[in-house]
Amino acid sequence: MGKSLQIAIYGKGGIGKSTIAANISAALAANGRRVLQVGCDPKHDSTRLLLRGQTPPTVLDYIRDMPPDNYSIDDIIMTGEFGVDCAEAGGPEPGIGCAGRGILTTFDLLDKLGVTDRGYDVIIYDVLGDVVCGGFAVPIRNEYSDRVYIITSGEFMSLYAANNILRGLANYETDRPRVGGIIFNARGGDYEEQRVFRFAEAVCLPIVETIPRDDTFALSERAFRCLVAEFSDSDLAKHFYSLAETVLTGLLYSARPVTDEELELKILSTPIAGNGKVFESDLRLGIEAVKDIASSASDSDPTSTASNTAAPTPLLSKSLVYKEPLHGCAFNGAISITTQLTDCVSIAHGPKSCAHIAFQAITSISRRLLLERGIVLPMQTAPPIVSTDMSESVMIFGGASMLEQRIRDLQKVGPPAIFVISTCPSGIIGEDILATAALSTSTTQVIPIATDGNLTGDHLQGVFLGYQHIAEALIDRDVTPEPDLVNIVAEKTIAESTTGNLNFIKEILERLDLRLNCRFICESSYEQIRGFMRAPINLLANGDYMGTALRDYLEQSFGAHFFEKAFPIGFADSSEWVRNLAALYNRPEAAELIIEDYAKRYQAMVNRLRPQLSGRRLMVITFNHDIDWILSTAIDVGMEIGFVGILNYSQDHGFNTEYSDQIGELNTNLDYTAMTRLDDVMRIQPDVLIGNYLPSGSLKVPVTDTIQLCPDVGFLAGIQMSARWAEMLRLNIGEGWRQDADLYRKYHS
Amino acid sequence: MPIYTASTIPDSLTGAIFAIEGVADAAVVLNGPTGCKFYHSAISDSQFPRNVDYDPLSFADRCFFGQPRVPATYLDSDDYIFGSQVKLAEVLSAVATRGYGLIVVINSPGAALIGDDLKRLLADTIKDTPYFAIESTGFSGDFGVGFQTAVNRMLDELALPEAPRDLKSVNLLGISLNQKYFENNYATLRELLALCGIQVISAFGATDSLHTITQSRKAALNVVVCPESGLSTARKLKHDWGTDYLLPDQGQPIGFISTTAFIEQVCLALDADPQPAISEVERARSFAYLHLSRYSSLLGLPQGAYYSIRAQASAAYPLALWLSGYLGMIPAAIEVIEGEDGGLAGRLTDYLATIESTEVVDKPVAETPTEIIFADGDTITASRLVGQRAACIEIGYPALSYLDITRKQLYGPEGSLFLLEQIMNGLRYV
Repeated sequence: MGKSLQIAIYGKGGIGKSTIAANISAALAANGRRVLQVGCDPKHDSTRLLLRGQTPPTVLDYIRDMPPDNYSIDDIIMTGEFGVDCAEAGGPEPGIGCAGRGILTTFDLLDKLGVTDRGYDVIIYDVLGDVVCGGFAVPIRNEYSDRVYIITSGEFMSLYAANNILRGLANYETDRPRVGGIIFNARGGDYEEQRVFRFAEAVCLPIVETIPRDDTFALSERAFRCLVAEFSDSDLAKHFYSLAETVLTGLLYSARPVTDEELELKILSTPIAGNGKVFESDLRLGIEAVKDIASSASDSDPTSTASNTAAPTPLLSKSLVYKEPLHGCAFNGAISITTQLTDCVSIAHGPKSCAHIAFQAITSISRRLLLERGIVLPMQTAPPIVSTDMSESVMIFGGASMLEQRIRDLQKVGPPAIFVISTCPSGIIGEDILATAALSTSTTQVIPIATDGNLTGDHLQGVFLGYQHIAEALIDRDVTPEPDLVNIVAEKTIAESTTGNLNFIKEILERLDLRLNCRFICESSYEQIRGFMRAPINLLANGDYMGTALRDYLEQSFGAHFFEKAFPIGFADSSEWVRNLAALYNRPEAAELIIEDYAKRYQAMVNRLRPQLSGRRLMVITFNHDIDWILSTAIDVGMEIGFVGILNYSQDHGFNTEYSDQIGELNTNLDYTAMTRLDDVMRIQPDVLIGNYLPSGSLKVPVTDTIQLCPDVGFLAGIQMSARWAEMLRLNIGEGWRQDADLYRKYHS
Repeated sequence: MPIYTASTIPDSLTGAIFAIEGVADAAVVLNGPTGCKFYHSAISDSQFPRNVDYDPLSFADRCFFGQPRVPATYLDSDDYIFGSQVKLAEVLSAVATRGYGLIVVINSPGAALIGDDLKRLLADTIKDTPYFAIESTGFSGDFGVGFQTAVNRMLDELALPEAPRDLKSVNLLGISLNQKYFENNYATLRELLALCGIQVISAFGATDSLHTITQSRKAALNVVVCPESGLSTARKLKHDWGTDYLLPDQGQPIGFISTTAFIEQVCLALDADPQPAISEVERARSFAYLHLSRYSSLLGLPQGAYYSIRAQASAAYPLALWLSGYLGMIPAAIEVIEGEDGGLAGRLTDYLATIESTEVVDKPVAETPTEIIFADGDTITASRLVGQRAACIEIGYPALSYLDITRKQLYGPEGSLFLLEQIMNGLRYV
C-alpha cells in the first residue's frame, strides 16, 4: 500500500474553501481516486455537501467521550458522494478554549489510528482561514502536506490571509517547495481580478484555477450536494475536474510572502490599470519551479511512494483508559525515565517551572539520603536536564530556532543521545519537536518525545512514552544472547526502596550464579540499553499496572522473555520466587540454601512475635493493591484480619488476594472518606491499623503504622513491619503527643 | 557525567502561588493540571502548615487530590481545547465552602494560553468570598516577579482605605515561603525593631492573615528586606499609597555587619533609637568572640578558609561582607541567583574588587574547590557528586529536608551565631 498524497487547502474563513475542497474531493473520487477529506474548522461543516447535509461525529468530541483503548477509525469517518470518506476535527465554541490545539489533537489521533494506511490516494485537509497559531499550521507541516493550495478572492482580508498563510508555510519549508498555487474564487468586486493577479505575481505563484461567481453553487447547496455531484455536466464542474488533475500533478513552488507594506501599498492600494491577466503568462518565467518528487516519480499514481513502517502500539496509562483525572503530567513521567540514562541529556522544552518541578521531584530523595545517610545517588543528584526556559515571546513567535541552538550546543558536549521532551505550553502552541530528530549526528542521536506536558496523559503515560521511545531508538535487536545474564525491568526511579531492593535481588542473583546485564531503565548507560537483548531472561521489578504493561510491550515488540513473577515481597512470595527462578536455571540446591537461611530468621521472628500479636485484630486501609505480603505475615503470627479497605490509586488496579477467606471484611469501595473510615474503625476496634497516611488525633487505635507505596522486597518485608507492632503492644508504650491537637489549635489557630 | 544543571530555581508561577499560600487565610485555586499542582501543594504545606493533621481523606474532593493545599482544576487535553470553565466552576464551588478569606485563581502556563474568562466564572460561582484571578504569571519569569504580581494584585483587590500613619511602624517586603527559615527571620526582625520602638505591621505573603495585611497602610515605611521579591511592591505602594520605602544598602540582615546596618538605616529613616537592638548584636558579637578567640588560637581559623555562596544578591552580598570582612575568609566561588536586586549584585562585585576577588563571580559553586559552601540543598548534593568534601551550610531552598523544629534563623544576632556555629563546626579539619 502506498503513501497517500496529502493536500492542504487554506483560505480565509467564509471564502468558500469548504465548497471548493468538497468539489475537488468529489471530482477526484469521480475519476476513480480514493479520497479522504478532513475538515479542520471548529464549525465542522467542511464535508456537509459530500454527506448530503449530514455531519460525522467530530474527532474532538469523540476523543472527549471515548476511552482511548476503544478508539476506532471507523467511528469518526463517514462515506459520502462518490465514496469520499469524510472526517471533521470539530472544536470548541467560539471564544472558548483553543481551536488550534484541537487541530493538533485531531492530527495526532488520525496518525495513531493509521489513517494514512487506509489506502487513500489523496487526503485533503480543509483548513480554516489564517495561520493564527501553531495548531492551525499543523496541516502545513512537512509530514502532513505534500501540497498546499490557497484559496482567495480579491478582497483585502482574503489576500491578507493568503499572504499570512504563505508566511506560515515559509516557516515550515525545509528541503522542498510545497505550494501548488492560488485558487481564485471570484466574488466580483471592482478590480478584483487585477488585485489577485498582482498578488500572485508578487508572491511568485500561479493561479491554478479561477472559479467564477455563479448561482449554480447556491442551487447545489440547497440540495445539500456539491456541484460536481448535482450538476455533473455543467461547465463549472469542468473547472473542478481540471483542478482535480492539477492538484495531483501540478508544479510546486516555494512560499515567498510579501511584507505587509508591500501588500498594502503595491497590491491593495495602488490603482490598477489594464487587464491583470497579462501577468499570468509571465508568471512562471521568474519563479523557481520544482517538480514535486512524489508526483514526478508517479505522475498518475500518487500512492506509489510506499512507506510502511509500523509504529509500536502505544501503551496507555490507567487514568487514560478509565478516563480518570490525570495524576501528574506525561512530561514529568518521561523525563523521570530519560534522566536515568547516565550519559545522555534531556531537554525540557518549556517554561522554567516545568524543568524545576521535574528536577525537584527527581532530586528530593537524593537530598534526603545525603542528609540522613551520607549517600550520593548519581542520577538523582544532578539529573541531566536542560531547560529551554520558554518565555512570553517564544509562546507567541515559537521556539524552534532556540531549541535547535540548544541541541547544537549540547551536541558539543557529546552525549550519545539527547532527548527533547515537550511541555503543555510547547504542545499548545504547536511546537514541532518531532522535527528535531533531523538534527541527529553520527555521534549524537536526537530523540524527540512529544509528551506535550499532560496533553498526552498523566505521569504514568509519560513513563510509558519514555520507555517506548528509548526502547525503539536504542535497543539493538541483533545482539547475541548470553546465558546466565538477566535484565531488571520497571524499577521505580523515584522511590526510597529502589536501592535496597536492588541490593536484595543482587544478593539472590549472586547466590544463583546469575549476572545482571541491564536495568531497564535505572542508572543505565546508552550502551547498556543497546545491549538489552543480551539477557535471555528479564526480571520484572514491579507487578503493578506499569510493570505488567511494560512487560507485555517488551514481549510483543522485542520478543523479550520474562520470568513469571515480579520481585517478591514477603516470605511466602520470596520463597516461591527464588525456587522458581533457580529451577529455570536448574539450580535447585542453591535456591534451597537461600530459602533455608531466610526461613530460620523468619521463623525465629514469627516465634518471637506470636505472643504479642496472636489474636490481635488488624485493619488495613491502603492505596496499595498488593498487600498479601502483609496479610500472610499477619496470619503467620496469628493475627485476625478484621478489615481490609482498598483505595483507588492512579498507578494500579486489580486488587487481588489469596487470603480473602481469612479477611473479616473486604471493602474495595473507591469513594472511601474520612467519615466512613472513622465509622469503620469504631466498629472494627482494631489493635493495629495500617495505611499509607493516617491522621493523628481522631482515630483511637493502640498501634498505627504506615505502608510504603513502594514497599521493600524480600523475605523479611512483612515480618519486619509486624515486629514494630509487636514491640509497641508488648511494651504498652504511649504516644502522649497524639492528645495535643487541641493544644495546637489553642495556641496557633 | 558532566553536570548540566546543578540546581534549579522556581519561576514566576511558583512566586505567585507562594505569595497567596503565604497568607494565613487565603487559598490558591490552580487552574491547571495536577503536574503543576502536586509540587506547589507539597511545598506550601511543608513551609507553612495550616492544618493540624495530614490526612488525605480529609481532602477527598477531587480537586485537592488528598493534599490540603492548592486545589486544582486538573486540566487535561480536552480542557485545553474546549475550555476549563466547567471544571473551574466545580472546583470553585467545592473550595468556596471551606471558609477561606480570599480565593485566588491562578492559571498554569498552559491554561494561560487558552484565555478562559476567569473573572466571569468567578463572579458566577463565588458569592460570599473575596476573589480575583491572575490570568498569567508570565513564562519563565523570576520568582520575585510572580510573587509581587500576586501581592500587588492582592493589595489592589483589598482596596485598603487610607489610614493615619503610625510614625514608628513598618511593613517588611520580600520575605516569602521560598526563603530558608522565613518565618523565624520575620519574627527576628519584629523583635529587633520592637526593641527600637518600631512596630512591624505586616509582611505580605509571609504568614500574616488578611486582617493583618489590611492594617498595612498605617505603616510609615516599607522596608525592602529582599528586593528580588519586594522592590516592585515598594515602588507600587510609594505610588499608590505615598508610603516611602527603604532598601537597606547591605541587603538582608545576615551577619553582624549587615544586621547592624539594617537596624541603623531603618531607625534613621523613622527617627528611632537603634541602640537597644545594636546592644543585642553586640552581646552576640561578644559571645562569638569568646568562641572565635579559642578556635582561632587552636586552629588558626576561620581566617583564610575558602568559602562559596550560591544565593540571591541580597543574601550573597551581606554574607560575603561578613565572611570576608569579619571572619577573614576567602571567597572561592559566588553564584548570584537572578532577580531585581536593587543594585546589590553590583555592590557585591564592587566589594569583591576591594579584596581582589572579582574572578570568583559566576564560578560554579558545586564544582569549584572550596572549604565551606553556603547554598541550597541541590547545590550541596551536586558538590558531593563531583567529589567535593567541603562543609555545607543550607541557606536556601530546596533544602536537604532536615526537619527544623526548634527556632532557627539567618537574620539578626541569633542568625549570625547560628551561621557561626555551623562554620566553626565545619572547618575543624581544613
